[in-house]
Amino acid sequence: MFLRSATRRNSVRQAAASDASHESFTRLRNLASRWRDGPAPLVFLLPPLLVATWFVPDYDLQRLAKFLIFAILAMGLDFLAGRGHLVSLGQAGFFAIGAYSFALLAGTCDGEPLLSLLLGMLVAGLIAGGFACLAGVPALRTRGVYFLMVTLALGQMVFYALHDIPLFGGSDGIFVCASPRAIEVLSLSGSRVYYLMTVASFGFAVLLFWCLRRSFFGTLLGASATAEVRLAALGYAVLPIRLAAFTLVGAVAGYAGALEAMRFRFVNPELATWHLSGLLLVMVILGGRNRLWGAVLGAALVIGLEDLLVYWFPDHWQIGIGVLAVVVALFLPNGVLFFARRLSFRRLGVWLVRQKESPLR
Amino acid sequence: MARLLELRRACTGYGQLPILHSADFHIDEGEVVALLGRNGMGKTTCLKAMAGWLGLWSGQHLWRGADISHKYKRGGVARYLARDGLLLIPEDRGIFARLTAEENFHLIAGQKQKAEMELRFPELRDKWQTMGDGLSGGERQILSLARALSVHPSLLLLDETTEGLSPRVAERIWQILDELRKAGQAFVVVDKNWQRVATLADRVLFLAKGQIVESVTGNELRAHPEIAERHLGL
Repeated sequence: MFLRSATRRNSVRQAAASDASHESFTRLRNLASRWRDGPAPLVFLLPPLLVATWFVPDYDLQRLAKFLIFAILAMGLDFLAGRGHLVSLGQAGFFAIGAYSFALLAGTCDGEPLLSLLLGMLVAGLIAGGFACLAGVPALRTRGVYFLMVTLALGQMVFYALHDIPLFGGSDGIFVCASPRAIEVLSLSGSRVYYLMTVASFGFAVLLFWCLRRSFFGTLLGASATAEVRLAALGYAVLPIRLAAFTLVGAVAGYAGALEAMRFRFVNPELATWHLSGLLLVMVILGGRNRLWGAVLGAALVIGLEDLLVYWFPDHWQIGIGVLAVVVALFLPNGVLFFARRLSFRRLGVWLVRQKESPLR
Repeated sequence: MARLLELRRACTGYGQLPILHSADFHIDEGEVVALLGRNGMGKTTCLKAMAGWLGLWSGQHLWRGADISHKYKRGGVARYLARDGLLLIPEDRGIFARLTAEENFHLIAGQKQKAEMELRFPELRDKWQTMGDGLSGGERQILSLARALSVHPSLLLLDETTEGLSPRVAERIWQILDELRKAGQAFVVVDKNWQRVATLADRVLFLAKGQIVESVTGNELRAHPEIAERHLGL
């Protein structure tokens, strides 16, 4: 019965294939898949995130904000590593530069509190971007493992600079010295304002990286990943393309750093440790490389698992993340997102029917 | 006829290993030149040197009469030449595996050229959304040719033009090259099929041990196949 209906459906499909309407159908499907890889899931993700503002207790809002900040960071790293094959272990450095810049600068502007905070975040992003540009010039001349090592070293340099220069308060870190009115915005009663700022930043980051991926710049970065000589042979210089991507992602990391600084109104050198860069890479790999939503899914998985595992095994929770990373690497080398894509209601239906028809039962 | 490209006593190679020893030849505007030679005699190296992918160790590299061998830094010569209309289609066709055919095409060409090339190469019509590594060898070669031709290059270098293609696709490529020749497009072709090359090329250069050992016209080669037998060891 099932088989017969399947053949009938196939013959109908073949008839449709010969039809001219097939072309428009294919175009529609291409469009749908492009939007699924694009900002369309935002439509489903943003309302619950916004509604959560009023119904979720403060602690969980903090965790949600952490997830959003890490999702922004991971999307940036995925653009570099997934699209451009520039696997960087120094992203935490730019993240910390942004956080410290914000912490030191937030107090200098005493205007409209929200505006001054926004300005501080943008300036923090610009400063981190500037550092990324400076660091990128030597670092991007290397490839593969060497690039990994150079960025790791750069990240560690940032860590020790923050740790040892007195201005930055050593291992104790410093408090964000925002103006009193700005502090009010960030205080407990106003933490919802902060959370909404984070959600908005996340939305903008999704749109930004979606546009970048679709843009000609994204194409060039993807091309530079596999074959530099070929790109040069078409008349392009590779270094400026990579430098632009590295700078931009550094700036986004700095902006995320400013958000992180606001979360506890406190920064310390822990923000620049390479563990954090490594965790970002794990997020990208878990979620699925070179997919806009892969990094977001990876961030959700890691942050969510961290919460669960800390609850169950307070001392050894990192083992859980490690095991998951190994399992994903072995069985889902393309990431969880790819696996989720392959699960669909139709496949589920086919599977159920097969179970029913199985002669063993 | 104006001189397009010239190598004078050009030497180059990979790392410490010299491949091209004192190669001397030139290519004029609108001329079709074939490079023939046995395996390992430096045909590909010669093309790479012409396109600036490999810097010269010594000798001169002249483009439109100006010496560019010392004018640009490493990698700069290739970029300059590519922008000035010299395109090399390497043996692997220069198609990026992880970009779609369309993205590959748009790296240097625009929408208008796409429509133009679709008319000229109808086989590309439903392949635009295929990823580079999903294209067949023939489709890659045609896409690569279409991309190169869309910017109206002044000189095209084709390495192993029909290598690994089925006879039918190879025949299509030869057809395209015949059309190009009639349209006055200058190109350099490297291929194993010397009979077909002899009917196409104005001039045939034989390479042996990194040097140009003989230069004949296509007609001469057709009249005296023993020349090819001597140099290709048939």
